[in-house]
Amino acid sequence: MKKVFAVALGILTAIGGFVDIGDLVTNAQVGARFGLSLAWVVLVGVLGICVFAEMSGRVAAVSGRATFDLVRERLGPRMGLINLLGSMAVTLLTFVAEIGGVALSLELVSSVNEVLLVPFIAFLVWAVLWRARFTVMENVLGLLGLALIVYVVALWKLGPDWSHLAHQWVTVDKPGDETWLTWSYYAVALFGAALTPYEVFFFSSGGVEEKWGPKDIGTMRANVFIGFPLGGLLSLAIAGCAAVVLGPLDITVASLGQVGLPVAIALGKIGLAVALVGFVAATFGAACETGLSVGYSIAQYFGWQWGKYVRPNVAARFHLVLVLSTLLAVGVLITSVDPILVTEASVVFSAVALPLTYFPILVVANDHDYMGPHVNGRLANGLGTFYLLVIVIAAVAAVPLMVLTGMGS
Amino acid sequence: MNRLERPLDGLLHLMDRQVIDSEDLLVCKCDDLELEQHEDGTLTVTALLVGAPVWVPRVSSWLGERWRRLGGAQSDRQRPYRIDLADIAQVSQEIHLRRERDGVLRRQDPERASVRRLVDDLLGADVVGPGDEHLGNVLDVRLAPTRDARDPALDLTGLLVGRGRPGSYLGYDRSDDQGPWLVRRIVRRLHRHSGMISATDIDEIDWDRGMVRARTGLGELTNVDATVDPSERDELRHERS
Amino acid sequence: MVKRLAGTLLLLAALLLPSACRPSSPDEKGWRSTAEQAVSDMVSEVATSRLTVQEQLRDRFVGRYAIVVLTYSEEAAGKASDSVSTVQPPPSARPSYDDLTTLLSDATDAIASARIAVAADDEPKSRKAVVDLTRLLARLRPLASSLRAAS
Repeated sequence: MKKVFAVALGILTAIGGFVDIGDLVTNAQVGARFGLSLAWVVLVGVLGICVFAEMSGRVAAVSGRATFDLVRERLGPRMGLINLLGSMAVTLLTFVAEIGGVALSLELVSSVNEVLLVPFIAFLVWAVLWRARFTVMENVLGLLGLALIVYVVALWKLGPDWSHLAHQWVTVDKPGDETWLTWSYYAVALFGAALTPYEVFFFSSGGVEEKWGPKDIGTMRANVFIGFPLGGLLSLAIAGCAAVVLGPLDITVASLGQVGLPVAIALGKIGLAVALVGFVAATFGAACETGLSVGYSIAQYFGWQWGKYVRPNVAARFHLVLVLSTLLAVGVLITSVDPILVTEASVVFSAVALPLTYFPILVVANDHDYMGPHVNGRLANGLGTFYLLVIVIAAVAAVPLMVLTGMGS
Repeated sequence: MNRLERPLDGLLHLMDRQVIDSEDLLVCKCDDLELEQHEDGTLTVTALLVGAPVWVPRVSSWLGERWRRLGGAQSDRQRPYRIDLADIAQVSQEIHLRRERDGVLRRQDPERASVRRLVDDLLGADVVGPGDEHLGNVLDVRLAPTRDARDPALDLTGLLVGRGRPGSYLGYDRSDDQGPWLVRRIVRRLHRHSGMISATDIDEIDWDRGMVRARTGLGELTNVDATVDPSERDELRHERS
Repeated sequence: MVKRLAGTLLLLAALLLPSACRPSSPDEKGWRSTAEQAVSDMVSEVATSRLTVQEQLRDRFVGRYAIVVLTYSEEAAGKASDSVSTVQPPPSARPSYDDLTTLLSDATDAIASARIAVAADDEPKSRKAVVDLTRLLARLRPLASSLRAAS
């Protein structure tokens, strides 16, 4: 019974923790402009994160080593450092976007200017990273993030023409006034939003925090293969709501407030209030995860003690990195840069940085020396190789597409 | 299992691995290995080296030079921290120490500096055959525990030589069945000219020019785990899981 | 989007600096794309504002949500309007320039009035704002499609 509860809790937090500011904004933007014609990309992205997270979770469970340990062991100090710098640049950008996302969400509730909220939120994030127990943090925020299920309810309540949506999805029916170039740009952005590198850093390091062993592989797989796809369903529901409400009115999503409009229309005050709880929980949870990921990765590269399973004074350098990255995020956000713009950049650069960590994990997941009998099977390697190619193509195409389309305008 | 009790590869199994203390706290990464050159020319690994003096030059020699200049007045600027092999309890995926981490890192002793080398100085060195032909570069060092020694040490028993950079083998030299197929094919194709030179066939090592002169051509590359009986290996895998 | 365009400009600042004369004087093609972008952004913001005011009249929002949404729309509309009014139009576009800038600034003003009405909880004024915004949308939408067709 306890086991069932643990698995269920893991799945629920995986669903609630799946969506972050990148998913919220990108899915709403794409839904409003392209309907569901990019839904395949969400599916490919969600299966991709499942494959990647399952491999790195398995490696963490069997060998006790998290992502950047392996990156350095396999690629050496030089390539490892380049890899670390690239991945940390993207993760910090995501961290900034998430804190900005919390600020925008709270602004919608309080109408206090988001820039003024930033230092307060950053302090809260830091306090959680400093004091809260790992499981408490993960479970509370993950469960509150489930509030975003309100988008599924809203879509159902809006009563769209389902056959039209399905047709758009299946036949990749891009609206006539959009070019394939912009379509491809948003495909890469959606892919990057679903497959953000920090998710894997956090997932594998979290496995070490929770002291997974080979016997926990089953639970881990349940979280990944049930939780993540259901989380992906929330992403699709957000896109669907935007497609039904905002698309026909020619609204392009440029603020978080617009993302909440379909819920207000479908479900009124209570629905909107639930959605706002979901916004705050999803972005705050992701802010904690990205913040920790920065600390995890840097500490793992240099071999410092990391993790919340030890007292902060035992992992002093790790906590110093957390303080500094939080201060950096505040510094960026009080320049009143638009967090939505930061989010758009972060999802595209996520796609660019992905091969850096995907490739070493794929290699190690095949290494008998680390994995013993738990090496990748045929299915994992078939999917692993397929995604290696997809990820490399997305990474190479991302920046040219961004320049050519003027960030999708 | 304890790797230190059997042959192992320096770069693959020791360098860049996590060092963990007796309380399971993380200490550092192993940034390099200390090599001692004996009068008869043989080489022995005597300690793990840690810290910026060995880490920065491995990232880039240009950066290493800038790093040194930033603290030219410090006498220990280029002396890394050292963990004696005697302090190591065992080596698995990680390097486990016998003691707690507080105060475990000590600067290398300036004495005997003349006979000390770094494994990293050997990695990447050009290997030249008896007829002055270029055989490749040193990709890794094969080590084996010293027999009958009072202090634990690892003898250098051979060099893995091939084209490309040290570490670029990604572990694919060890087994034929390591997937995924596409990656294995590419890595093996890039390294099709690799081979080994036994320590006894090393004629001389020119440390300043980064060159190794060999008495023979390349021998066949042997897999370090191949020295372990296959049934024993399965047992080990089982034990680890 | 104007904001996204601004982001791209930042990212490509080094490349774009040499051509950053003031006022920027785009050629015919550049002008059309600026105008098209501004008008379609304005359609989006006016439509958002109208939807928000309508739903506010049906009491669908919590707290000051509607006001925040309208404030963002107003800001974005102002930027869209400025993006056209701060460039030097090419000679061929001058006849339509005044109409365009007037329309964009009218739309920005209408969003501001809507925000004021909603913040003051003034129902008659909010209803009037919906009517105004609807009328502006009716003028902006055909303009957006004709600009898109031309470019």
